[in-house]
Amino acid sequence: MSDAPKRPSLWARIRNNVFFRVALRPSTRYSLAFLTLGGFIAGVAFWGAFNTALEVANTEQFCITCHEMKDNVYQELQGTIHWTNRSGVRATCPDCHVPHQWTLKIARKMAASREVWGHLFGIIGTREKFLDTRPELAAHEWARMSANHSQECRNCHSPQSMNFAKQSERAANIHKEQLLTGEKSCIDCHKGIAHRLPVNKADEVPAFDD
Amino acid sequence: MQADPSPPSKLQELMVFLTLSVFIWPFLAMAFVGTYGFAFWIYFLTAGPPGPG
Repeated sequence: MSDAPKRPSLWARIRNNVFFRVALRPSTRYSLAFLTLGGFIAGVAFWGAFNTALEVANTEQFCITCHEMKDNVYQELQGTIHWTNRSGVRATCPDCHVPHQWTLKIARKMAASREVWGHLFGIIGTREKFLDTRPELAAHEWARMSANHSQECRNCHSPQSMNFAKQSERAANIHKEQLLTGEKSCIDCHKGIAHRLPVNKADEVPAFDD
Repeated sequence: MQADPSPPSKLQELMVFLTLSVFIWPFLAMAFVGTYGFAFWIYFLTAGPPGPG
């Protein structure tokens, strides 16, 4: 043993900290029943709050608290059939832009930290910047939807439920040839149906080709 | 290990219990879920967006 006073190790200091000393030993005053009940209640409260917050962050009202969304894409949606139609069913932002499956939803929520960054630094803070960035932003979303075979469209629309007799002959034929065979999914043809197309892509939409 | 000093008081135990259940575990749970989502995000950035299913 050396003569120099030994500095206690980090672990020893943690062990001697009053909080950890109490936290890491069995309770002397509270029963297991009380402690597990307390943990149970805290867990229920946490999970409820977590899901409530997740749902609040998954509403259109939340999306348009950022002017980038409210002034651009939200305005454009209002001219489309996904905003108003004869049956009164409509799609809100997260219906199409946030995956519904839990893991993918959480991943998308974390990816939104990129959007918080963009908002703070005004990356698409003006109409001009938005229009300049739009081709890139649209390409991200098209690639995402194409990769998952338009999962967010198919949450409501189903090829099996399509009545081809009620479609135009041209649409019915193309749906039978390309949709039912799995060759293509919705987004591969139907781009720019809920928002305007990026300007330089306006003439690349197969569904509207003549 | 040193000998156990006097056992903690009831108030001490209650405060530690509340700190753990109200702050520490919820914070760790958020950190865990956040890390989980972040990992998938980074994975999709490198491997491309997830497929159907």
